[in-house]
Order: sequence, then C-alpha cells, then structure tokens
Amino acid sequence: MRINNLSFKFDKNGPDFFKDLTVEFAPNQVHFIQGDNGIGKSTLFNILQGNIEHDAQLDASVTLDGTTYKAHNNTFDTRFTNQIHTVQQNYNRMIADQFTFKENLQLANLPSHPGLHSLPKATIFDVMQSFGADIVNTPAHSLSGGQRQLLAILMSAQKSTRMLLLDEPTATLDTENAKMIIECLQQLAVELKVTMLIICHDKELVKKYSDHNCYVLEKNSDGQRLIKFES
Amino acid sequence: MLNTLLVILEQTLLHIPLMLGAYISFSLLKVPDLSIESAYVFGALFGSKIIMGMPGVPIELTLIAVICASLLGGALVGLTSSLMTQKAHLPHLLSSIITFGLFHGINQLISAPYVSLQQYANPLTIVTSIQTHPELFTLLFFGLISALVVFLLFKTQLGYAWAVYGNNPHFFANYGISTNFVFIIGVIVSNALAGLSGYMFAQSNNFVEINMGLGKALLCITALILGKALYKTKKPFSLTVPLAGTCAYFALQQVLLKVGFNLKYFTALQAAIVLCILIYTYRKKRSHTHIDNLGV
Repeated sequence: MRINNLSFKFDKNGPDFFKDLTVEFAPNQVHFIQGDNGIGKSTLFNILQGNIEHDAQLDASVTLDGTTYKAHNNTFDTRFTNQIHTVQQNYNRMIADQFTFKENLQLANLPSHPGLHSLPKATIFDVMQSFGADIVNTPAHSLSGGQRQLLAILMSAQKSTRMLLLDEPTATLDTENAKMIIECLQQLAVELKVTMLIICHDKELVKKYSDHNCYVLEKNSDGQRLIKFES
Repeated sequence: MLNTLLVILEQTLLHIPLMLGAYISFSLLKVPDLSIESAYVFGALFGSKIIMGMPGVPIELTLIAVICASLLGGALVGLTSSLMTQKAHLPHLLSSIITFGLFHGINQLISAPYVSLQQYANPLTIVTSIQTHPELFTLLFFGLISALVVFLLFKTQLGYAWAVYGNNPHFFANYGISTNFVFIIGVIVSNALAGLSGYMFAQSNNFVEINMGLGKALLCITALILGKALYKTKKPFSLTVPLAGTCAYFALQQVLLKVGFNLKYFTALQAAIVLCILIYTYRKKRSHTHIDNLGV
C-alpha cells in the first residue's frame, strides 16, 4: 500500500497539516508508526478511512494492490475504504459483552441489514480454534483485557479486509498481553494476507517486534510533517 | 377456583403479544419505549375500524383483516417513534412522549373517545369455546402463534442484533451494520405486537377507549421484572421471561382480588413493587460497570 503526495488541511484557509507526504508499506506485514502526541498519527488513520470534517481539504491518492484511488470530496473511493478496517483504542465499544467469543465473531459478520437467516459463520475459525475451546465459548465479559483486545482485532480482521489500522492496541495491556497481541497480529497478517498499521508508543515493544517495519512521523526544521523509515 | 384459573389464562393470553413486544424493546433493545402505550390504543382503533367497516363480510376474512390492521396500526406508531430516535436523534423517551401526543390527537380525529363493539360480530369467537370464556381458544391460538413467531425471530440475525443493540449500541458502527435498521425494525415489531394485543383486549371487552393504553408500560415492566425473578437465565434472550412474567402478574392480581384488595389501587401497588425492586437491583449492582436499563 502506498500513500502518494498526501496534502491535508483541517481548514481550507488554514495551514497545511500534511504536505506531499509519501510512504509505502510492504503488503501482509505489521508496520509500526510512532511519533509525538499531536503529530498526526490518528489523523492519518482518519484520512485513510474517510473520517474527516467537511471544512477540511484533502488532496492525495493511494495505491492498493496495483489500483490507484484519488481522493475526491475529502474521501477516498469506497472500493478503497471498504478494504480498510479499524480497531479502536476503546475496544470495549466493539464487543457485545453478553455473547461468547465465537458469537461475537459471528455477529461482526452480520450483513448491513440483518435479516431472517441464522447467524453467519465466523470466517476465521481456524485461528480462533488455536485459542482453545474454553475461550471460544466464554462470554466476552469474562475475558481478560488481552483476550478482549484480541477478539476486537479478530472481529475486524475477518471483514474481508486488506488493511487493518490499530490505534494503540496495547495501550491498556500489561507487557505479557501486549506481546501476545503483537505476536497474534504478525501471525494474522500472514495468514489472512492483511497489511497492518499499528500506532504504538511502547518503544521496547516496537524494538522487539518491528522487524524493519517501523516508521516515525515527525516535523522537519520547516515544520513540515514527514514520515521516516526508522532502521 | 377453575374460573379464577381461566381468568388468569385469558388475561395472560390477551397480554402475551404486548408482553413479547415489551420484551423486545425494554429487555433486548433496552429502550424506554413508552410508545407501546400509543401502539396498544392505535392497534385497537385500527382493528375496530375494520370490524365496523366490514359488516356482512365472512367472519374468517374479518378476523384476518382485523389482525393485519391492528398489527399495522401498532407498527405505524413504532415507525414514527423509532424514526424520531434514529433520524432526528432524539432520546427515545422523548420520541415516545412526542409520539404519544401525536397519536392521541390522531385517535381523537378518527374516533370517538369511547366506541362500543357490542353490536358487531366478534371474530374472536370464530371457534366454539367454553361458554363463560367464548374467546379462549382463539386467544390461545394467537398467543401461541405470537410466541412461536417471536421464538423463531430470536433465532435469526435480527433477533441477535436486537440483543446486541441493548448490550452495546455502538457495536454495529464498527462492522458496517446499520444501527438504524436494527433499531427501527425492533421497535416496529415490538409496537406491532402491542397493537395486536390492544385489539384483542378491546374486542374481548367489547369497547375501544382512547385512554386504554395508560399504564400498559408499567404493567409490562412489572411483569418482566416478575418474569426475571422467576426465571433466572444467563442467555441473552429467553421467551420464558415474558411468558412467566405475564402469567405471574395476572395470578398476583387475582390473588390480591381474592384477599379483598381493591384493584383500583393495583397500579399504585405495582409502581411501589417496581420501585423497591429497582432500588434493590441498582444498589446490588453498584459495583458492576453494566446495569440493565429499567431492570428488565
């Protein structure tokens, strides 16, 4: 996936927030994005999903699997945005507590207008079974923080996604759970052929797992935002 | 004794559709859906209009038409209130109150405050029944059909979606599922069932009165609380809760009547019961993060 010459202003008459930002992410891998608070990591995710205000101004194109999509009216084509899903920082909003791990996966697969058919199947059942039957049939309210985060990730990952954007998925987790989540993401990226972008502030975690896929968003001396590959 | 049991059974059957509807909106969607009171009256009025407009038509056809009309009447009320909530972004309690005002005006426009159905053929007596309770078999049939339909609905994507909405209304937005659709269809089905119940009650009592819906929401909440107390389940939905609750509610009413309690104070008594149970429930659950709305 490649972002080409992305320029963005929060206000049409305001200053540039991003100017000619270009970056390429290798497919089916986990990429970490770091940077100071307020530098624009979450804004970049919002732009990719088309979640920006009306009075903003976006000029960019993105290339995914050889097809280039140009931004129009502050958003990218739905053929592009439909291939992107986000795992929110507040993953509790993504889970139905009363239902089991497996039912949650099935519920996330409901069509846009649920009908009179039975629940759809969970499409990543193989991955799910590797966590053991105990977790699979456990109500979501009884899962640990790490397991709930994992559930939210799996629910998003199974939605025919080519890209998964994760905004600080390990922020509320202890070290062990954070490691478990990142290892699971790396496994999922390969198995499901999904490119993952992760905003992460935990330098130790990034150092351990980045595997040459770490990017830093920062300002240069002119105040222009750049995204730099960090070796 | 037998007559008391028959009264409990008849009252339960008359209220089963209403209670199933209330279970969908109060317990599954977890919204304070006062519009079921308006739907109850509007369904009764719609049904009675059909009875009055179809003299001489075979009773079987009248029955089918009247059931469809009462369901449609209730559904219209549900559509109005749910559209206000989802499209105008009003809190559902406010939508219900506005819907009540709107339909109270419409009811007065299309009907007298009191309409007697005495002089019209009663479609609920289509099947010969016990002499003292001539509608019992028809009511039993509609009670069972309503319960079966709702039971089957709970096994569908829609049934699960209603329970998910009550559990986490933000859920659907993350997965490209229409929250509006789930909510609107849920309230429409709930109110349609209330409309059917309204007609059955009106026909059974041989009159329609435009204030007959008052207090029905409280009745539903009380019965659902009783149902939950009698049948504890960890399942996201259970048909036993509204059915057992309705039965227990009318059994309690008959017991109080037998011991000489004046039923004109029954509404106040059930309000007090609901208040006590809710205070107890909320205090007990204070340490928990999730509290069911309305305690049902």
